[in-house]
Amino acid sequence: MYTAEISRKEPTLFVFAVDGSGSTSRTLANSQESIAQRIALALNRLIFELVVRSTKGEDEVRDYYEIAALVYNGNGVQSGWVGALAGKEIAKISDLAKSPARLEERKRKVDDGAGGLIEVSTKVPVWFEASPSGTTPMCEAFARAKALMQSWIAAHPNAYPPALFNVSDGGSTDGDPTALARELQALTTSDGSVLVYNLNVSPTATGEVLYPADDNNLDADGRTLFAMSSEMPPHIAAALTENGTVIKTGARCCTINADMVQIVQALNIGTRPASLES
Amino acid sequence: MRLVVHVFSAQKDGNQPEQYEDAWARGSHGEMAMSDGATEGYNAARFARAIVKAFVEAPPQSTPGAVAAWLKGPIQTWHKGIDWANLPWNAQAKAERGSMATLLGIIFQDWKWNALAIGDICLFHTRQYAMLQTFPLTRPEEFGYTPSLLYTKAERNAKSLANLKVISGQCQLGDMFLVISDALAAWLMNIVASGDPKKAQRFLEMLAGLNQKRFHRLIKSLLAAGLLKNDDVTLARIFVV
Repeated sequence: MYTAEISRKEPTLFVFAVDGSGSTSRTLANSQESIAQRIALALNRLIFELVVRSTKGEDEVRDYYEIAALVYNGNGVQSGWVGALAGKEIAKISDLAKSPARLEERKRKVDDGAGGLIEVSTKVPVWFEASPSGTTPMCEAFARAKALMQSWIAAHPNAYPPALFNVSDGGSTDGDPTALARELQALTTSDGSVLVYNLNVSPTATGEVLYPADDNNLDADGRTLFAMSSEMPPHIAAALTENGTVIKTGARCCTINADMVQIVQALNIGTRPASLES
Repeated sequence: MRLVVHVFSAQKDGNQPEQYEDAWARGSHGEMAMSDGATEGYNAARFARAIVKAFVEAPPQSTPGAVAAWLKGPIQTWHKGIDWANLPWNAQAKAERGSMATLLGIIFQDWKWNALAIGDICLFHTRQYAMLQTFPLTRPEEFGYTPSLLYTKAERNAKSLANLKVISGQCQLGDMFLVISDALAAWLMNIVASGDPKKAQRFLEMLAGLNQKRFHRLIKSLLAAGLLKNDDVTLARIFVV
């Protein structure tokens, strides 16, 4: 399980469900930025990394990944893509490569291969934005993610299993999403079940719990997040361990009251393939 | 001594011919080289071609320091082939991370040969359809996902070059050498390791009689049987005549 090669023939799907409720406008401790801004930055950087990983040459981006970025807030659930992809739900990585909403330029010096440095201007792309407002309809977001994954899996029955990354700063306001989360985990390809990550971020990161293996010491919200999250597959556990995080047997794909560094690590490692086409 | 060389190659199944990232070159004085550009590199085919061309035109001495100095040439060739100022943002970011490739170089001279290798391209020295020597790998389990590589980022090469493998030997009239990129080399190594010399002999006879048509048929049947990793494949066959 979780060993299928990610290739152009058999890509994989990542769905990001991002909490865009009013509370995400809170400023992070030791920062000028809000939770919403930092989540958007983390997601744009992650997509940048996935695009670069899929780039082979000047004109070639291999479609190893398909990505949906949903925002859920007072306006319901909508796609968080801005620019040319606005309104589209699942975007191929080659479409993302072609269609950032904008590129922010900065100058950098790089090795010229002959012991010197040359100045190049680096372009930092933006695809995703969220404007915080209103409530947290997490059930609606999970239902939407489930619909997307169901039809995607029907078309890719042997793919490396899709993953949902639910990034939020608080509990659901439209009911308990646990049953929906379990229905998502019950979706399978021949290579394993859909992985559901619940990454709860806190502006102060007090009382953080990373990848719990049981729910004994969690509060009610923490127990819900625990119940909603997949058990961590061994290759993800190994990658996190390599990065210095302690992972117990039975750990769940779940962070509670984490800081943004930990959220970024979870996203980076969760989207790292066990095996990429060679 | 005279050398008769045939080279067979196929791009990874499902790829276009222009996506083939192995490279082969033969010089005018018994120098030959094969390189396998790594998929994760930016324009690895260009780096692989630059490496083999540099090897057959002016091979380095077989020491890590000499190879590191010699590698500046292929690295610059790779750099110069990129229009850095006009790359799309994603290609620029990828190109900045560089490229990488493996190398097996061999030089024949006066019934002697010497070879150097970084990575998992293999040389098989055979006589009368019996295996005399495999280099640099000797066991099937040595083929992994992380071979030693030569990098366009020069500072990364010290670690790889600490693993530089060198070998030399003698050859006789009628000997057959095979230089094979990793996927097919792993298949042949499995046969050699099976401990059945008759089976090895049968396959070496088959490889001695390969032509383009038979080569492509072989690759297709090995892929269908699940005996070959789907990858670019290159086989160079050298007869000493």
